[in-house]
Order: sequence, then C-alpha cells, then structure tokens
Amino acid sequence: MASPLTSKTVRETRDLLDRREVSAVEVAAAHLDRIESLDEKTVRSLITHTRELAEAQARLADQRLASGEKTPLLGVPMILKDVLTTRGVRTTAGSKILENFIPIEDGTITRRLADAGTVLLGKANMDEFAMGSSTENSAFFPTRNPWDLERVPGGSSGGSAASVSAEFAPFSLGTDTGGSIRQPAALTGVVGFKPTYGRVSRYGLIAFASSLDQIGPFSRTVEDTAMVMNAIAGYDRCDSTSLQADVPDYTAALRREPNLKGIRLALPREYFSVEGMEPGVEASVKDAISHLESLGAELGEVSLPHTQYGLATYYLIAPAEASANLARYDGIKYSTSLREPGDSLWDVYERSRGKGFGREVKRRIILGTYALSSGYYDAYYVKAQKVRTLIKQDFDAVFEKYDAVVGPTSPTTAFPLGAKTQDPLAMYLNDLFTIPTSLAGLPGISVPGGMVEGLPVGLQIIGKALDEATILRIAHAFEQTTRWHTLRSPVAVQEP
Amino acid sequence: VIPLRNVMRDDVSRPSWPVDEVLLNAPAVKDGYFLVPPVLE
Repeated sequence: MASPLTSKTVRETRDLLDRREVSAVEVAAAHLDRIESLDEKTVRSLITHTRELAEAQARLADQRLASGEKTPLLGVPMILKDVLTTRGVRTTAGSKILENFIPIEDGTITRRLADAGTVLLGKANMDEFAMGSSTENSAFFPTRNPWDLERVPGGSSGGSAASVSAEFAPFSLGTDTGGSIRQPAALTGVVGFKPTYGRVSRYGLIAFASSLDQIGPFSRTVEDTAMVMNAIAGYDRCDSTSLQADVPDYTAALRREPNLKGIRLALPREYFSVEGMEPGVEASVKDAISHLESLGAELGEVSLPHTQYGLATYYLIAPAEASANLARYDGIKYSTSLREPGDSLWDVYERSRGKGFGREVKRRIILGTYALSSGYYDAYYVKAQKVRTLIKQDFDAVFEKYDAVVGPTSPTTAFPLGAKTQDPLAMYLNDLFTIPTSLAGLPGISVPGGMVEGLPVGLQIIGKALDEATILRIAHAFEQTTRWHTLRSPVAVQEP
Repeated sequence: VIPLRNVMRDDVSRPSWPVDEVLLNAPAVKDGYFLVPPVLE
C-alpha cells in the first residue's frame, strides 16, 4: 500500500497538489478524518477542531491551484498553537480565563499563512499561557507523547509537537519563550525551530514574556521548516519589535551535498556532564556531534560561563513580564467574568482571576509582581537584566570564532506524566539548555538526533542573530545523512 | 551608551475596530460601553 496522504511532508504534499494527483480538499479530509478518529483516544493534541473552516480553505486552495498558482504552502494543512489568534475561532491560550474568547481578528502570522493558502485543521493544546514544559498545565487536559502515551510531549507547545509527530498535520506552529518549541520537538522526535527574536511578527500572539516570545514551526523535515519560515518571516508594522531586516530564501540555504567543510561548531562544556542529565541523552548527542564532524565540520570546546545563571535570570524576567501582560485579564473586557450581585469592581477582578488562572500561572504572576515591587526591583529585575547581557556576551564571544553552537536540546527524554508536576524546580530544569538562547534572542533548532530506550533525543543547533540560514544548513546536512527523522512514532503508524 | 535606538513611525491615523466588534467578547455591555460594577459608592 502506498503511504497515506497524512504521512507526506509539506514538500511531498505540494508536489502531489502541483501534479493534480490529489486535491487540497482530499488532503484536508484525510488529515481531518485521521484527527477525528485518533486524537481523542491517543495523544489529545487539539483543543479545538476547525473542520468547517478547513474545508472552506481547502476549496479555496483548489481554486487557486486550478488557476495555476504555485505559492509554496498552497493547499497544505496545518495546526496552530492555541495562543495564536484566529478570527471567529475560539482561542484559549490553554486557560479557563479565555475559555470562551473568540478573537475578532487574525494575528499577523495566522493571516500570512491563510493568504499563503494553508488549511487550518485545529488549535493545539498547550501549557496555560505557555507556562510549562510538559503541557500538563493546560486548563483542559494534558497532551500525551506519541512515542509513549504514558509520557509527556514536553511543552509548552506540546500539542503542536505531538500533532506533527502523530501525523495529524505535516507542520504546525508553536511559540518559544524559554524552549517551548525546541524542547517538545526533542521529546516527540520532530524538527522544532525558534527564529531570531523579532524575525517573526508577534502581533496576534497572546503575550507571555514579550522580550522573549517568538513564533516558529514544527515539521518532520528541515526543508519543510525552511518552507514555513519563508512564509512567516519578515517585518510587520503591527509589532514594534519586528525587525526590518532582509529575509533570505531559507530553502536556498539547504545544500544538496551534505558537506560541512569550513563550518566551525562550538561545544559548550556547560552543556555536557551536568547534574540531572541522562547518560543516554549525552551519549546520543555526542554521537550526533561526531557525525557532524564526519561531514567536515570543525569542532571546538568553548565555555559559556554564565549558563548556570540562565534559569534564575529567566525566572525573574519572564514572570515579571508575564505579571504585566496578564493584568489585562480582568473580567471586564473580554475574559471570563465571574460576577455576583452586589460585587464591587475589585470583587470581580479577584473572583475572575482567582478562578480563571491555574496554579502555575498564579505562581509566576506572584513571582513577577514581587520581582518588580518597590524595594526589590533593583535587587531582582534590574540584576536579572544585567545578567541577561552577560549571557548574551558569552554567545557573542563564541560567535567571533564559530558559526554555530551545538549540544543537547533537553537534558532528558520524555518523562512520565505527573513525574514533575509537584516539583516546579525539577520542571524548570528541562529548559536548562534552551533558556540561554532565548535570553540572548538567538535562533535555535532541535532536530531528531538519536533514540534512547524507544524515546527520541534532540540535537540543538544555535546560531548567530539573523543567521537562521546557517543552522538550517547544518541541520539539513545532518538530517540527509541520518535516519532519525524517518522513524515514525507508534501513534503515527496507527491507522484511523 | 547602549546600542539601541527608538523606532518611530509617522503619526498618521488608521481606521480602528467597529465598536460592536470590540464589545463582542465583553461579559456585560450597555449603550456601546463596557459595563462594570460601581467604582465609587
């Protein structure tokens, strides 16, 4: 039997559509049927299904295809993390407080993908307001890992990662604030890409920590990620932090010959042999890096000396920004409102926020409010901003001599559901190797780089600001000469 | 001192959202406004 439409990559789907072997309506229907028969009883990656919208968008795509249009993502189905606003489609951010929120407009990226002709299949589950590393903080239900349903898919973009790993869509979008794209990509065995801060517009992304948040794709190949980046990268006047920088054709960075001669790769010693790191993960990542060397790359050991302060810095800056961003959910303008007769305005705030937010969100609002409070501001927030600069300078120094930094994405493979929910600090350690990149605003990618006891391991490649092309090239060369990305999760091989 | 500069745009007004759409997700509305409990007794 030929492989089903749902196993195709973005590129393969496009080729089939161009050759008129299938219609966009058929491609969409195959994915929608698969989701409807499998998602609920396996990974639970979606909060909202958008069949009607998908069918309408697919019909429109077929009309455009019939007129000879060849826009690269035309007719390709996809899934959006439920933190990206979609006009007329409920957008919850994984929170009770936005349980019934129906945005009146598309975010810039939702709009760009719709204009490119993609077909929205549904909205993906996530940790509430993107705060978490396991998707267990979703106010609705946890998502499970397609490789082992008793384990987490990582987070906070766990639904987006799991949906691509389970072959519910060839690509999805997530958001990364401290690792929320790269870590779930690693744990579910797919490609996850965080662009340079400012490369992709955040307009219409429900804000968590505005100086860190960045939208990026999940896919099953590096080429597909490059294709999606071509559609979403670029300046947007609606986002004041959007960069006015030229956007290259990312697919042009991918060479046919997997040759890395002349590429210098830095291995930070702080990313290896650290406490809490699984030996199997470390061994796999070292093998993957040796493989990069065999493709011609030069390796060198370096130090990123402020790595050990990354988590502490992040857990001051991100909650501080979150405490300000989440002040808007007041039960007055558009969020869940719990009012009783005789309530004062303050009662409405208290009840709506008290019942609307989950534990982790409250923990971070309290932490952030404290860090910003009079008398503590200098000792915590200002100090954290200074350390953030030191962390960025660590990378600047390394990039004077190297083209990219390589290491593990996550210290462990996917862990069992519930294993870390009672210990926030253990949960935060998941992002040890992804947070410094976020604080420095740099691009990073996680690609399937090994397997340990049936669970995927991610290889992380970090690049210079705005030099996404180099890390895509390295990731692509690695992928072309390894088999890890071809392994399919047990849910992926399940027939509907 | 720091390698940053302000990013400015021209001060030109653009159309904003119709009031009925802005109020679409409001929990309580009256005469085209958000309805809130009394702030001053």
